[in-house]
Amino acid sequence: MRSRFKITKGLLASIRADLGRPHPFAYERVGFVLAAAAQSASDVLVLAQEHHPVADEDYLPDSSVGAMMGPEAIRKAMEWALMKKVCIFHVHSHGGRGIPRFSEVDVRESTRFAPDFLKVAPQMTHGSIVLSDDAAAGRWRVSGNSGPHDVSEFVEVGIPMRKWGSS
Amino acid sequence: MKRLDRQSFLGCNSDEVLDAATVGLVGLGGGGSHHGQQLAHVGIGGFVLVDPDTIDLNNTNRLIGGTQLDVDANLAKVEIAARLIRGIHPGARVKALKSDWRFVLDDLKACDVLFGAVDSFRDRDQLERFARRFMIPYVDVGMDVLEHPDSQFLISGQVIVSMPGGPCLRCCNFITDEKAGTRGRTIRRGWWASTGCLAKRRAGFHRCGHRTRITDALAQSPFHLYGVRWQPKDRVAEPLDDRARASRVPALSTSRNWRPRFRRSTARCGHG
Repeated sequence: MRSRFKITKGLLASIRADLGRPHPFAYERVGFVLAAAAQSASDVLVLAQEHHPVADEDYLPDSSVGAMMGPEAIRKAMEWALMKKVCIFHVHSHGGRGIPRFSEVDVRESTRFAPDFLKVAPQMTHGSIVLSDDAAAGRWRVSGNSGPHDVSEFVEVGIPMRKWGSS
Repeated sequence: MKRLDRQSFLGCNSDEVLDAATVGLVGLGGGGSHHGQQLAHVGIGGFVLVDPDTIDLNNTNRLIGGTQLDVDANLAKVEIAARLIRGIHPGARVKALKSDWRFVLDDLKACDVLFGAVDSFRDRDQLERFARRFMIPYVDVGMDVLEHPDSQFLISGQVIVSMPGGPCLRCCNFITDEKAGTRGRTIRRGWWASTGCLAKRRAGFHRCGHRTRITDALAQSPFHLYGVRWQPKDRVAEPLDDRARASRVPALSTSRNWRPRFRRSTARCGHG
């Protein structure tokens, strides 16, 4: 199943800027992208709408990873999924250039929390995306479907419009 | 020598970028047929062509590619455009859909850009809303020939790019609820136009001699729409002079800090 993740240039820039802010003790910042989902003739469309940074107080001190979210951050994201009926994509940045890859920690942690979003909003797709300074990669899940799928194509909607494939 | 060598200034990989793009053309008449032709010339690779009509004799004065033989064969406009595009760009991926655009939404959702060359404001309004909902840049193109008091006729037209996240056709005052035959809905502190663009952000096109300049309605008044101006409560209020107009505008604000003040507007964009 092909998927296309669409996000406006302005929103993507604001996410990158937010993730670049320093945190009092975490090495990096993370957040959630709220998105709508639709089906086209050939693709599943994920349409990014909002970005919600994880609040400073919702990080846990954990020197083994760049940033560790606490349960309150997950609870808030689950509440958005439940109340707003939206897709939830965890987002963080690896910096650098080119299409990034998920680290082992990213895969391990997203496997833990992404299925929880499917429990509260099973009609939507959920997952995680990782940004670089000029590209992104993503994984998504749907209810009742085995394993995460790679986002087939990212579209940065703006002038100029940019598209890239992550798989 | 390659066909697109002369446009290498567009970028070293422009051929691949253009070939990978899919463009939706809604309306393949006098305007849309030009778009198809030119987009094929520059190397766009994917086309979704949508028009429910067949060619008539009186279309042949402007429909690019249309011939008398096509009129005799009662050929669909999308077939004429597809033939034209394949003649220019044989490798193009063309999907010709002789249908109302509302019945082929799944095909249009997959497009990277939509070009609208439709006849009515209602179609333009709905097509733009569809495009913005699915985050597809929408290019609206149209022209009209009007009677003019000083001359025999006036030819005018517009090219408006409606980019998701940017101003919409309503921001440009090109489409209004009156033209589109629809009504917006109210929210607490403003008017939410049907495209989802808050009215207080709208900008207007202001006619000035032979030139058209874009002016920001906010530069003149904090809130302006349909002849209604909004000001903070602590400003000096002016007498209400158009109760009848006010009665047509739903109650908007329940905020303690804002109160409506109605005043007749002499121009739609608020710069009269």
